[in-house]
This record gives sequence, structure tokens and C-alpha cells, in this order.
Amino acid sequence: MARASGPPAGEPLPAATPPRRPGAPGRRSGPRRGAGVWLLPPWSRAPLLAFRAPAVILAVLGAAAILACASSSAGLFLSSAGAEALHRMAAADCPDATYPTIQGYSEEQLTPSVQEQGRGSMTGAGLPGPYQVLAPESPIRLTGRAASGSAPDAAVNVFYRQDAVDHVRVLSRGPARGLWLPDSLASSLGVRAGQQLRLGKASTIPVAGVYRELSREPVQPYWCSYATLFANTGGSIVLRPLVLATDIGTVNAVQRAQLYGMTNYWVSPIDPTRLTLSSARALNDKQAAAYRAFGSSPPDDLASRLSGTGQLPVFTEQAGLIRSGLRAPVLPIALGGTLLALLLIGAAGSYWADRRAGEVRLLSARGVGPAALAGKAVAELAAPAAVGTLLGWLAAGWLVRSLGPSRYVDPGAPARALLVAGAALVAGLALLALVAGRRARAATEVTIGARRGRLAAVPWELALLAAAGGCYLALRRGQAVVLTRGVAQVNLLVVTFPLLFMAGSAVLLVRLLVLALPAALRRPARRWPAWYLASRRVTAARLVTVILLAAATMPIAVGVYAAGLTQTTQYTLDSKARLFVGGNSSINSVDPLRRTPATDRAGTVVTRYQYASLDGQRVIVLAIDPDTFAATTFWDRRYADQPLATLLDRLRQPSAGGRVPALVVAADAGHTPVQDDQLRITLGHSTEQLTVAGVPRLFPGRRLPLPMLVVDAARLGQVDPHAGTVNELWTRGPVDPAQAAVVAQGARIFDIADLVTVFNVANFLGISWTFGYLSALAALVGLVAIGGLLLYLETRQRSRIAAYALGRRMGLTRATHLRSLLAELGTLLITALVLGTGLAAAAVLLVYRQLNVDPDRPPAPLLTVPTAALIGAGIIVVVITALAAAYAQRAADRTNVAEVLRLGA
Amino acid sequence: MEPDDFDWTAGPLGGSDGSGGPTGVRLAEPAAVCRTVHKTYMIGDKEIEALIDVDKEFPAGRVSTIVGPSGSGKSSLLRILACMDRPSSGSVRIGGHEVSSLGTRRRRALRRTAVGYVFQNPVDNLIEYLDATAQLKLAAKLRGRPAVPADLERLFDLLGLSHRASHLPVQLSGGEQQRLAFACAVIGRPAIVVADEPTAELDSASADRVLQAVHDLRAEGVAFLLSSHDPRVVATADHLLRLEHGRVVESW
Repeated sequence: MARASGPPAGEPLPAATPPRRPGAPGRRSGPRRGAGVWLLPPWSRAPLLAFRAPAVILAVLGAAAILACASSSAGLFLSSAGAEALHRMAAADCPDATYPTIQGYSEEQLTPSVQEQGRGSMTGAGLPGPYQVLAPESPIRLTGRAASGSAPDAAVNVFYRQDAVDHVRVLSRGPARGLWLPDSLASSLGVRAGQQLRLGKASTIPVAGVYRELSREPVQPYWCSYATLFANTGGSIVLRPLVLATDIGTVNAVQRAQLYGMTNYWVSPIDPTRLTLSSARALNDKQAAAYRAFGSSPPDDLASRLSGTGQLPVFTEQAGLIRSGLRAPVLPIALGGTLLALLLIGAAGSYWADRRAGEVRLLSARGVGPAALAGKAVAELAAPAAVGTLLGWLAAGWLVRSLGPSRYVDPGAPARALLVAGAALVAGLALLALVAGRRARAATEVTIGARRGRLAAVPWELALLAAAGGCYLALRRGQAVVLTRGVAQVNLLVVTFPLLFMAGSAVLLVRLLVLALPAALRRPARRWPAWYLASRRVTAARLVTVILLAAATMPIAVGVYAAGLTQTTQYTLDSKARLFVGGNSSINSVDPLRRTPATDRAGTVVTRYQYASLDGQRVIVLAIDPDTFAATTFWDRRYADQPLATLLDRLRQPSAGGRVPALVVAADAGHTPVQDDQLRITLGHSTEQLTVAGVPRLFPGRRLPLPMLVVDAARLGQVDPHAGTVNELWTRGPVDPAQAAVVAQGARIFDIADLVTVFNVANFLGISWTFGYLSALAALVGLVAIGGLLLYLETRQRSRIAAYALGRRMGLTRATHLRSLLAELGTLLITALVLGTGLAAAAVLLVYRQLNVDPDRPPAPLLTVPTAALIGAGIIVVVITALAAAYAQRAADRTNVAEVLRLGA
Repeated sequence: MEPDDFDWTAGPLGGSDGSGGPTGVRLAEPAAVCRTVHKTYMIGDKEIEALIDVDKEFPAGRVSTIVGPSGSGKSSLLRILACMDRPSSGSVRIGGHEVSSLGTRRRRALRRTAVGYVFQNPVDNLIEYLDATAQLKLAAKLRGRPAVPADLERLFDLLGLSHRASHLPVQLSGGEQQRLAFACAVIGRPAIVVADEPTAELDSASADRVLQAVHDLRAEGVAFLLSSHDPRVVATADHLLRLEHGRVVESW
């Protein structure tokens, strides 16, 4: 080629103008920096350019969706939890317990104007049209006429609700207006439907009908709130026959005849299944407004009034407590999830810079700064990020509605969640711009071979561990669960300690592991080509390996921790309830219970003597049947210091002097209530000679914080019936057969104790929901880790494909390559599984003893291994390994080997 | 001096000032000067000396070639001359301005106005979604120059790309891509154009056309600094710098 086509060296050329003075204005004609770059094609076309890299769109869309889901779910979750707490409390009470109610006591006749005032107060406050209930505050006296000519009378309660007669079993019917009498009352007064009753001295009132006494019928939901009027559930009130008035005119007629106090209720029916905390509060406000309009004040003790009605303010307050108790642990969890999701957004920004490396490097080489390139990244990715945010917000709503706690949330909650998601989007885009800008700067401006910064060598995870240590010490000094007005609230430290501990430990362990990685991988590399390839890949990108390993360890650790504490807490609560009851249920009767084939099938018969004393100290004596006891009762070796079979054998053993062997259970575990082996106890007026056969730490059936003596019922002599005897049939199975077995003996049931009656379940919802949300965080972190894994595979795809292409030329088989991928990813993820499980186990061991929901009630927390969570984590790891390896292999299979070799990696 | 205070007033390639050369560069003066340039890298804990006492002047309107075996320091020197990196010590002047001590932002400003860079791989020098005319316009505007149609046409004619003005990079051959890359590098008349093995990815005929284009463009008064292993590049160079183990072993 000709050399001298240009001017020869040294030839003078036209002189250039001298350099402009610093600060002097230059001649510029086009946009080139600052806002001007936005008019240039790489920026002006940016929103459309993203579509040239669908993988980047997917990465950003997914990352933004996860970010929005993580950030916006907390508010929705708390709102849903408040609604569910309300629903649970409402479901545990009478159907009308949540209905807004106003009530007023009256000893005067209920005029139409008063009726209208009550109704108008409710509807005027925006409440549905109420129905009216008149409940007795004082009895009236009715006089009948017996066949003998006498005039028997009775004190009765008069009740009115418009459709009450539709909810009784009608035995006979008379005139349309008057009083409906229960059959027993009609019989005792000697009257029938259509006959007249005397009210006071001069008035009469017709018997409108006779119905089956409600106490002899199964209680219908309609009567649930009025059960105190006909069933002795309170146990202390004098029950009077319940007489139903057909109309308010009848009630007024009664009041004209006798001084008679009634409470008037106006009750607005609502649908409690759709209640949320805010709608409940709105209803309470309306109820208060109705009271004000009625010219009355709401009573302070709504709950203690006629059972059920008008308890919405009480439920609302309790649900509010549960929700506010959840807020402390849930918000930090959500924040942690949001920060992790932000990392994924940052990774997506880095992925963008990787995928657009050519253009970024070219523009950077032409003097475009990182800010402009970061702006380009945002301009390209803002639309997919916004779509992802919207999808994430929708997903958060869907998840909360699908997985609960409740499908209902406060009406304003979705909008607030969208605002939070929008704020997270702004933060995410800022981070994305930062990462993209830094990567762009690294394309041309980072000095190659510069000294490694000191900060990079600092083990910053030690700061996390130090913070975790501080949290743990604070947790040990305080309480893991605080009961506020009966509502369990999980201490924030129960969440922050493990997150800090596991994050710090995961990074530290991974850092140490990676330091040892090359040596560990050296030997096997000589034996197995797939392993050799895998180990080379892992060691070649140590930093990426560290990040990925830590990212995979965290979700497993958090998930296993949450599952471990959830199951431990639930099992412990269950154990406390079972220890209290003895079995799953206890059918209690004051009548003697015999052991029969039916009772044997149902469970075991136990007799409890509540008024026993030992040396003047009150004790409880539990007389059991050793033959059937073990099969029925709750026994866990972890709370018991001795096997149950051994203890029961000791009860059966013969003893000297006719003394009855007894097990002595202290009031406080660890304290021995007796010093002597020979005991003499008093049971009412009778006495028994006992000998101590064992001192177990705990024993089922202990319901009072008193020492308890357990004896074989068959060896106990005749006991004074005034020893506070309660005969119980404990059962592990369903209650109905046990009830039938008791009734079949003619014994009356006065009470059934079951696990639900021990604890108010709603009060402990916060614990399970806290750990449930933590599990959701684990799932979210898992998603982030999977996203990270995909980005890891994508960003390393080019070098992996180049290596595969070269390897194929050297005889590498597809199967060996696939095995190497399985080995690479499997090693990473299985190591993460082992590390995560180990860290979770350590965290659970450190925390679970603190998580004693009711320390006064034994047993202490019983550690429960979350087997299902562990198996699930293992399966997920295997599935992800297989899918990710298949994905990477598929990408390698589609490679044009010649193209790769031509272009290079 | 602020980053944008570098003002390389354009000649015919980017708005004429009548000087015939880039502002700040008298053609009798070298466009770039290296004085006792040292560059040291850290590989782990080990120091590697990439450049040792490099002294060289690169005249304007000339093609200078930097040659040497792999690892001799060619790319390090090019990065320093392209204002992408700084020397560990020594002085580097571009268009009479000392740049070795400039911060990142000022070097970036210099890259925008005074330096053109051509990557080895032709596709790396072009934006895939812009046609040839848009590539030139973008390059000019980034340099802060108007994209005068007449200048663009002249450049296309000079490089034999007139019939490709509306073509996307993917529709161009490797040689055409690389010639277009040089056109983008010289538009707006920078002081120097740095090219890292610009013919390495091209076949023989395409490489010849690219080198011809470079020689045609040097008449615009821009200093071309090409690193290469290609003997044809050496044969066409006005000046040569040979490096071995970071030291200058031949210079003319």
C-alpha cells in the first residue's frame, strides 16, 4: 500500500488558533452534556431500546415486582391480620355479637315515638335498619289456674324480638297476640294456648302459644346471645321461665299491669365476615353517633351485658392490639425484604450494563459520563420497572388475599400499598441508576490494576454479628413475647436478632469457605472432568460465588428459623393446653362415672378431688385408671423426667401397710412438696394413708397452681362426696362419643374442657402471623436468590458458552458438561442448604427458650424440628439445581460454536 | 480548568475556523507528548511495571504506530493517551495540555472533545441501531459540533462510504464498519485518534482500505496513534514506537 498519501512529516500546515483561555466561552453548536444528551438518539430512543434486550426487561420487571411486593405487602398484611383477628373473635362468639347496638334501660312503656327515636338514631347514623329486642331486667309474676281451682303463679322473664316465635318449637298455638309460654311453665300454671293469664290483680293477657322449653333443645344460633335467659351458663343466676311476647303492645300491656324493667336494644345487622378493622371502627363511630342521637351514653361494659350483642368495640380494640403488636416485627421484616429486593434491582442494573456493554463502553470512550449513562439506563428500564411495580403490587394484594390471614383488607390499604410500592420504585430506579453508572464508569475510567481498597478487605459482617450479639443480650434481658391485655406481642428482637445473626454468619462462613475453596477442590479435580470444570468455574469467580452462596443461604436459614420457631411455639402452646386438660378434651360431670366399654373406647375415667389437704396445705388429688390412662393422656418425654409407664407401674405396686402409692407433683416444677414418704391426706371428712411412689416434675391434668397427688382410683377407699369431687372422662378423640359414653351412664355433663377453652386462640394469633410473615420473607429472599442465580447464569453465559465451545472441540461431551453444571450449582446450593440449616438451628436454639408464651403454665418451650420445612428446602434446592443446570445447558446447546470461536468470549 | 474548557475548535470536519488543524495544536507542535511515563499495575500483591520511562512525541497530521509483543505495554500507553487512564508518574500532554494529573471528569471532557478512540472490533465502534449518517451526527454532537451535512458528505466520499450513508452497522462489512469508526473518531477534529489494533479483525483487502482511509484523514491535521502487530500498519506509518517489557526499544 502506498505510504505517503497524506502530507509528509514535518510539512508545515495551516496554523491552528491558540488554545482558548480557561473560562472563556467556547463555540458549541450541539447538545453534548447535561440535559442536552437527552435529545441524542441513545437517550431519546431509550424507552424503545429496552425491547432489544428482552432478558433485561424480564430481569428488571421481575426485580421491580419483587421489590413492590416486598415493600407493599406489609401494610396489606397488617390490614388483613386486623380483619382476620376480628373475624376469629366474631366467629368464636354469637353470630350477632358484632352487630352495632344501642341499648337503654326502661321501666316505662315503649311508646311509638321512643321506638322511632331508637330506629332513627341507628339509621340516621348510617347503620342498617335495626331490629328491636326487649330483654328483661326484672321478672313479672303470672298467675294461672290449676284444675284443682287453685291459682298457681310464677315469676317469669318476658322477652321480645319480632321473629322469636319463628325460632322455637311450637307445641300449641292460640291467638296472634299475647305471651308464648314454655311447656313446663304452661304445665305448672295449668294453662293452654288461648287461655288467659292473670297479670297482677286486675289485668289478664292471653296465652298466644306454648313452645318447647329452650333449655331442652339444641341451642340455635338465633338464641346464642340470649342463652343466659334460659341456660345456666353463668352458673350463679336464678333462671326463670322465658316468656315470649308476640309484639311490643303486649310488652306495654305487661308493663301497664306491673312495674317491670326492660332493656331495649336496637340492633343493626351487618355481615361480620367482611369486616375490616377500619370498617369496624367506622361502625363503632356510627354506633357512638347513634347513641348520641338517642340522647344516651354507651355503657362502659358492653361485653358484660346481654351476651353477644354490641361487642364490636371490644373486638375492634382487641384486633387493633393484635395488629399493632404485629407491626413491630412485621415492618422490620418488610424493610429487610425490601432491602434484599433492592439488591436484586441493583443486580438488574448491573445486568443492563453487562448486556449493553458495547454501547456503554463506546459512549464512555467518547466522553459520556456515568450520570448520563445512568440516566440512559433509567430511561430504558423505567417502563418495565413501573410495570413490574404494578405487577408486584397486584401480586402482594393477591398473595395477602389468597394466603391470608384474611382476604379482606381495609379499603384504603391497597392505595397506601401502591404509594409505598411507588416510593420503592423510585428508590429502586435510583439504585439501578447508581449501579449502571458505576458499571459504565468501570467500562473505561477505572484504573486497571489499581491497589485493592482497604474497605474491600474489611470483614463488615462482623458488625452484623456484633449487632446480633447486642440484640441477643437485650432479648435475654427482656421478654420474647409480651402479653398486652392478654394479646401476645412478639418482641422485635426475636426477628432482628436472627436476621442479623444469620446474615452476618452466612457471609462470614461463606468468606471462610471460599478462602479454603481452591485447596478443597484441588484433589477431586484430578479425578472427574465434570468436577474439574465445576471447580474451575467456582474458583474463577470467587466474588460471585460468595454473593450467590450467601444469597442462597439466607432464605434457607430464615425459612427454617421461622418454621422452627412457629412449630415450637404451636407445639408448646398445644402441650400447655393438653397438660392442663389431660387429653384433647375432658367431659366433666358431678355424677359418678364408671369405667365401661364405651368409656374405654372414648378415653380414660379420672376423678378429681379438689378439696383435699396435706398437713393443712390444700392439694388436688387425681385418681386415675392406670390401665387406660397412658393411651389417652398427653405425654412428651421432653417435659417429663420419667417415663409414664414407669410411673403408672409404681402406682400399681403393692405397698406396705395398705398405704396407697401416690405420685407427688409440686406446685412449681423442681420444688418437692413433701419431705416424708408417708403421707396422710384429708379428702373432705375422710382420710387416706399414702406413700410417695414418685415425684414427677409434671403430670397431665394439673389445672390449678397447687400440689397434685396422683393415685390409682381402684386403690383409693371410699371418699367423702364433699371432697369437691369432679368426675371426668378424658379423651384424645372426638368429643361426641365421649359425651355419649357419659350420658349413657345417666351422668349429667356440666362442663367440657378442651384445648380451645384453655387459651383464647385469637390472643396468640400475632405469634403465628409474625413467623408466617417471616416465612414469607424467606420465600421472598428465595425468589431474590433465584433471580440472582439466573443473573449469575446469564452474566456468565458468554464465558461459559465459549468454554463449552472450546471444550467440545477438545472432546467434551454434552453429558459431562451437564454434569459439571449440576456439580457447580449443586455444590453451591447444597452448601447453602447445609449452612442455612445450621445457622437456623443455632438461632432457634438461642431463642426458643425465650419464647415462652405463658411462663406460669407448664411445660417450658419444647423444641420441635420443622421436618416439613427441611424436606421442602431440600426438594427446592434439588429442583432449582436441576432446572438451572438444564437452563444453562440449553443455552450452551443453542450456541453456534463457530461463531463463538470467531468472536471470542 | 473546568472539564468543558477544552476547546478544540473544528476545522473542515467539524466547523471551520480556517486554521486547518485542531484548536490548541499547532501543526508544527506534537499533538501528544509523553515524558518519562511510568505505569505500574497491582496484580494481587505484586507490582507489574507496564511502562518504564516512555518518551515520545506524536506529531499532528501524522500516523504513528506503536508496536511490540503482547504485554509490552502498547494498550497501557494507548489508554493513557486516550485519557482513559493516568500514568503512575511522568508527564503526558495532549494539545499542549498536561493531562497526567487531571481528574476523571476532566479526562472525560478531554475524551469528549480532543480524543477519538477506535476499538479493535469494528462492531464495538458503532451503535447497532443507528445508520451511518446518524453515527456521524451522534459523534459530532457528542463532541459539541454541528453535524453539517456537507461535512458528512465529504467524509463519506473521502472514506468511500457514500452509498452506505443510510445503512445500519449490521449491513456494513467489517472494513466499512471500521472506516465508519474512523470517520466518527475524526469528526469534530480531535487532537488525536487512538486506535487499538484497528485492522486485527479485518481481512487483507479491508485492512488496506482502512489504512488508506487513515492516511486520507491525516490530511485533516489529526494525529493518529495506532497499535498493531500488522506489518502493513508499520509500513504505512510516519512514526514508530516499539515497546518491549514496557520500555522503548525503537523510536523514529
